[in-house]
Amino acid sequence: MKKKTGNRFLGLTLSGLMVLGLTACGNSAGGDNGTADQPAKEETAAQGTETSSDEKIVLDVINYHVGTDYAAEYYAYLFEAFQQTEEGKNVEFHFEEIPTTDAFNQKIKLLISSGDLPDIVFNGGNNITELAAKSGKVADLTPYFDADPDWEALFDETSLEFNMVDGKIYGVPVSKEISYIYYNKDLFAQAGIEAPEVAYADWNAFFEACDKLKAAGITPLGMDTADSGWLTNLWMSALIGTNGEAGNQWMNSMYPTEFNTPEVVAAAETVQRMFQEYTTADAVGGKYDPMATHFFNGEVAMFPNGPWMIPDFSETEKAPEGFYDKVGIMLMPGKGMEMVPTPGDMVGASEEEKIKAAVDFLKFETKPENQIKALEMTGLQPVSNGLEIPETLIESDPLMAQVLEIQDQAEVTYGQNQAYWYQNTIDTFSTELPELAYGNITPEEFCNKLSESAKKNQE
Amino acid sequence: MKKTPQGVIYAAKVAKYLFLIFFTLIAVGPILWAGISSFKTYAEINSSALSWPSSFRLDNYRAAFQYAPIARYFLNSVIIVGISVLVTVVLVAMCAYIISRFRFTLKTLIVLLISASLMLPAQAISQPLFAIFQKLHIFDTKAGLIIVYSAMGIPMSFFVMVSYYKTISTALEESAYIDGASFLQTFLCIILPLAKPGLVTIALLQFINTWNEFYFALMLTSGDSARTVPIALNYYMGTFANNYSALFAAVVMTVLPTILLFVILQKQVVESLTAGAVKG
Repeated sequence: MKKKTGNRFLGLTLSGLMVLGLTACGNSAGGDNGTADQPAKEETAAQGTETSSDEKIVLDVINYHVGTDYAAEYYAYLFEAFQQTEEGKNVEFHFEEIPTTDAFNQKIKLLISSGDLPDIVFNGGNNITELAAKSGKVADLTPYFDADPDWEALFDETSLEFNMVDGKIYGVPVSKEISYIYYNKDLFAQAGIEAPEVAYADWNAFFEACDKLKAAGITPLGMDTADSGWLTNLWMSALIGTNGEAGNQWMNSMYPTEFNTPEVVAAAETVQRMFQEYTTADAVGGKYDPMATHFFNGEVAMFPNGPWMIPDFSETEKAPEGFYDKVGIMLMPGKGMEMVPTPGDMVGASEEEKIKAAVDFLKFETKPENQIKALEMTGLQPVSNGLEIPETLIESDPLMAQVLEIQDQAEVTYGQNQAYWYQNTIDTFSTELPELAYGNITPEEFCNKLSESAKKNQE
Repeated sequence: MKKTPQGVIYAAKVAKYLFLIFFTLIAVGPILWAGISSFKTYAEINSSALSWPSSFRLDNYRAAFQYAPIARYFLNSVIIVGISVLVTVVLVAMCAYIISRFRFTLKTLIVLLISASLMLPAQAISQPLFAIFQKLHIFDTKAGLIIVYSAMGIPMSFFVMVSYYKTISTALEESAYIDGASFLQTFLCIILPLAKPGLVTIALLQFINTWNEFYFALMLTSGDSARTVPIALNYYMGTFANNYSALFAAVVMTVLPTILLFVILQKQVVESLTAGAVKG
């Protein structure tokens, strides 16, 4: 009995010590608020959202750029730098951190319906602009654009239109999303292929190169199906978007409901062939990270993605040393490139003073210098056209500079499913891809399933 | 009686151990895998799920603390889950006893209401809860989450306990009353000790459900003071930048104390589960 009690006591002490250890380590690293590298995270300016006693304007922000998010460091810089400006010196931020965009989108939808939006509303990938605007809980920013023509001139018409609801601007676009193909120069050389300067003339030339790679024992393409099938989505969008005027128009339309068009069926047929002949065995059921590792490890020759992947090429945790120099960039066959405007950040404040402070922050966020800074730190593409790229970037990050250069040579641009399709259709795409890949369903049946799913949104 | 051949006994023994090893592996495998993965690099994790780490370095554990307020969220979890388990067990133990033993006017209505709350999806009640909690000033507090978790745990635990009380013979209570015990004495000294296995079961169920709960922990909090471990784990899953190495390290750190505690108290748990057996 004594022994039993002794063991129990020893065990409980051990557990207690582990918990204490965990706490002690946590405090030393991150303090009460945890994340050590998140400045200004402290619940600044006392509590709540009112103007504090020393006349500071307190802005509530829900920030999902935290933890391991690719832009966490950049946004930490941005908030701090804004407070050093004339417009921001009297502003303090009251942060709520929500890691991951999925969690952020869940919460922001609840806050839209309850009317408790933060003063600055980031747009977390899912396009919530229309939902927020129709709820009447976000500010109409048109007067602020009208009053500042220099600011308005930073954005092209498409980007602003993408953020309009009923003719009023509600979102400030902060970047553009683009994607193209990364290729491994060494593997191309090994297969005796010379990569095109800009892009393969057409898909036939592209698949000829794939056959040569395959003949040299190299897996040509990176693909996936899980987590919305991001990589496969980029291939499929390119196949549709570069298939003549009809395909391009289709791939540029929002919320399509009819997928049984010749271009989409042809693309599905090609995707099926790509799964069966040109990709890794684990692509079916695979998700982005292991597929990216295949590319980093030189196991696949071509990988579709956007510029946010570039910092990973030189991160030795992920890719072997020197990998950055092995990577080349080309557009999709037919000089195609995915390019979609992004849903912009909004203002949820209702008091005039706060709206103005929030707009000042959004102006700061979209200043040309900060667009370049975002490009350098995160790979986010500037929303403004024709920004002057600093010489330092060309020297420090030649791939990123090449991205900026090559995108001007795109002759065909189109959207991609995660930006333009209904959410349930994106899910169907991901769940039905394995069936298509294994040949359990025909490309026509695959397209029918997408149509059925999309049409549910109109019932 | 014919003697069983030695070979058959030996084969049965081997089969028994193989069976036990198989289920032990199923139970322990994921934990071991997470433990091993917590020492691997991003590239090692993504290259092969079953490979051995190139070295046992602690960088991932350092990174786990760097990215997320894991320690604070862990302590919040311990407090919130601990109290909600206690509240659920105490309330359900009393409520289920009354429902299982007595007849009264509103009994059917009460049971119906409790059953109905089982059907409510979290998403349907999140907005009203959000508004009520703000009005009551319990938004973003541990007390708020304890109330929600206890309330969510009550219906399922209630039905488990009602069924359990029904297995206890009423003759025991009648004997106690004949011997002069009061209602409270009968409940506390006769029924509750016999109901220990049921109570341990609902405590475990409640613990598992609330320890892993994510949705309300996200919706009903806005700062670090009441957020729990599932949210901390999301910090390692950023857009285009998952840090699985740090994630596994965080999982190991948050799961290990709980497992250790369970291993230590295992005897008590098993004893509680079998304590209800009425000896003939």
